[in-house]
Formats: sequence, structure tokens, C-alpha cells
Amino acid sequence: MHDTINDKEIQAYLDQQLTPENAKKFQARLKNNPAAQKKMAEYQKIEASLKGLYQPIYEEMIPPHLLNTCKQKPFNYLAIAASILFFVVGALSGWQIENFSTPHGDSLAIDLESPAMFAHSVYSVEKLHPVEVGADKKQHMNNWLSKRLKTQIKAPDLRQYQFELVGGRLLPSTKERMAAQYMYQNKKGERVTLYIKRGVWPQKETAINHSSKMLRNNSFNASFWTDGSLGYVITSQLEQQINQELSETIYQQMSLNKAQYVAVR
Amino acid sequence: MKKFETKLIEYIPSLRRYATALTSNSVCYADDLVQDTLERALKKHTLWMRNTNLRAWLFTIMHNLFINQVNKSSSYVFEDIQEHESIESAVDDPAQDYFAAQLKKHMENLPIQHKEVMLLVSLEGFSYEEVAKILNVPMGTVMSRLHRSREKLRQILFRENPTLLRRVK
Repeated sequence: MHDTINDKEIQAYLDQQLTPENAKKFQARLKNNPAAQKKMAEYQKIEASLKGLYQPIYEEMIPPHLLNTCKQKPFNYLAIAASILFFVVGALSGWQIENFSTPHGDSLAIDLESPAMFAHSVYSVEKLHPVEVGADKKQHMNNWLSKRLKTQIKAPDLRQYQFELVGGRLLPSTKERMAAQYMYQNKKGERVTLYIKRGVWPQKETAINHSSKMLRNNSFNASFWTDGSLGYVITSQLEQQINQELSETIYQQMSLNKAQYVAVR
Repeated sequence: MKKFETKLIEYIPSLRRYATALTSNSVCYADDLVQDTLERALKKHTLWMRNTNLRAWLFTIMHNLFINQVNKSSSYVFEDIQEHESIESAVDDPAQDYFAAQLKKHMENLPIQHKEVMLLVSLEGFSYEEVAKILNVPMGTVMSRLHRSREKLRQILFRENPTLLRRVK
């Protein structure tokens, strides 16, 4: 029987995609196939020439201006300054918000931020049942939570930050209201939750607030805001800056959803 | 744990190598592209997830900057490349030199998307999976673009110079 070796196999071997065992088997087959051997040699020559062409630039001294670019690091000081600022602003605004609740309305700190952070601290450590409905039933989960919260909501996509949706759950919250919690997890097992609740908030729209809290011996960072009747809280143990990036992305996705929803109606 | 900027410096040589090949061997424009990449990486370094592949992340930034430039004004690409040419072949054998020059010439004729895949795999040694992430295309696309590029180059280089291979033992 004549053994044919296809280009796919040649490519896999060339790019070292085969296990050592399979590579050995392939080499043996190659020995008996002059045509494939010739092709392989030609490919290898192209590979080697390409590497040779650009080896000098790789070995060249790095131009000083590129080194300097890396050595200027205003971002570090900025980051430190920013985190101090967030802490101070967060602490101040947290205090103000706490004291800013209308008799019939909801308080951002008591009715939004606190229950969200508490719910995060409870479920983010859960190994067996972190969510009620898994991401495999995403459509169903979104519909169900929308129905229970009596408003259209949808789990945002955080894959650009390597966070995959784990799923969601319905939660009782303050003042006989309900809230939804979506949970995300990255490959390192770090978890982020998004808490969404309907309420009568002091302001129709707020900027994103940031806060930190110790709960059950862990420190958590939260970013929260309201948009119309919906309040949002993103909680995690990640750096505040990452939390902030996430909340900005969610903010954008959510306002886009809202626009689409309004348009459809 | 090394500082972020120290790690960046480690990857400059390979970023320069890729940028040079990508920008038709114009070292000037290549270094502009590298500089833009480094600046962007420093600005956005909070977006990089720790313990993930920093090198692939940097190449993703570079790819995006490059494609934006190509779409916008092509300023990285269509400048007179001869003037800035500084790449010389690393081999001494004249036949090898000729082959390398031909290879360089025909690499230029590949579509940009194909050239990128070929450079990332063959020159930079990224896995198919990494390349798929860097270019934000499916892995199957990476493999087929790679095969098409290689096959095209092989057809041109070895059909036009059938004796070349025999010279290399």
C-alpha cells in the first residue's frame, strides 16, 4: 500500500504540533515517502531562511529611545495617586450616600451596595452551587430574571477580560424587592459578580462610585451606579482599577441593551 | 515578581523583529510601531491579566495598531522602503543570499493577513492557538492561511529555482 502524507500532516510536524511519539511515527513514514520528504525539506528551507533574514535585527542593541519609553513610568505614580483618590472619594461619597436617602426612596449604600457586597461574599466562595442557573441556559436565565425583576436584563459579556459567565441567581433584597446576581470567573478562579436591582434611587442616573469593604474577613471592592430604575453593583477582590474597567464596560453594554430594548418596543 | 516595564524590555527584540518584517523591512517605521505598542501597553497595563501571556498580549496590541494604520493611511507600509533598508541576510553563501532575497520579495506579495500568520508562527514561534487569539480569528483560519502562504512561497521559490535545494546538502 502506498502511504500518502498530506500537507496538514507536514504542517503539524513542521510546527511541532505532534507529541514526541507521533513525531517519531511520522518520521518513519516520511523516510519511505520521497515526495513528502522533498516538500518537507522545501518548507524547512523557507522557515530557516525567514529566521535568518530577521536574526540581525533581533540581536541588535535596543535603540535607546525605546528603552526610555519603558523607563518613563508616569503611569505608576498615576495609578497610586488614582487609587488614593478613589479611596478618599469612595470613602467620602460612601458617607454622603449613606446619609442621602429619601423617606420613601432607596439608599444607594443600604439598599444597593451593601446587599450586593454581602451576596458576593456569600456566593463567590461557593464551590458546589455558585449559581442557580448555569451559563449553558443563558437565554432562559436572562428571560427568567427579567420576568422576576419585571424589567429587561441581560448578562453582559466580559470575555474581553477573560471572564466567562458562570450563571446567575435570583436574590431577595431589602424592602421586599428582588435582585439578580450574575457571576463570572476567569481561568485563575477569580470571581466577579454583577448585582442588578430595581429601586427608587435618589438620582435618576449616577456616575460610577467605588468603594471597599471588609466582609467575613476578606476585603472586597465594589463599583456601583444607577441608571433609571436599575441599580448595578460590580463586586470582586480584584484591584480597584480592574473593577473600574469592568464596570465601565458593563455600563456601556447595559446602556446599549437599554437603547436596543427601547427601540424594539 | 519582575516589574512590568522590565518585562516589556525583554520583549522588545522580538517586537522589533516582527514589526520590521511586517512593515516591509522599514526599520524606521518598525520602531515607530514598536514605540506605539510599548506606550499603549504602559497605558493599558491594568488590562493585562497577570500570569497570562504578556508576549502574546503585546503582539495583539501591535497587530491592532498596525491594522488601524493600514486601514487609515497605510503610512507604515507604502513609504519608500529602500531608503530605510537595513536588513542584511545573516548567511554568507551567495546562493542562500539569493534565496533569502527572493523569499523576502515574495513575502511582500502575500496578503497582509497571510503574512501576519506566517510571521507569527514561523518567525516568532507562536502556537496556532496564540496566533488565533492575537489576530482574533478562528484557529482553522490560522492553519489554512499558514498553509496557503507556505505553499505559495514554495511553489514560487522552488519552481523558479529548481536547483536551489540540491545545494543545501
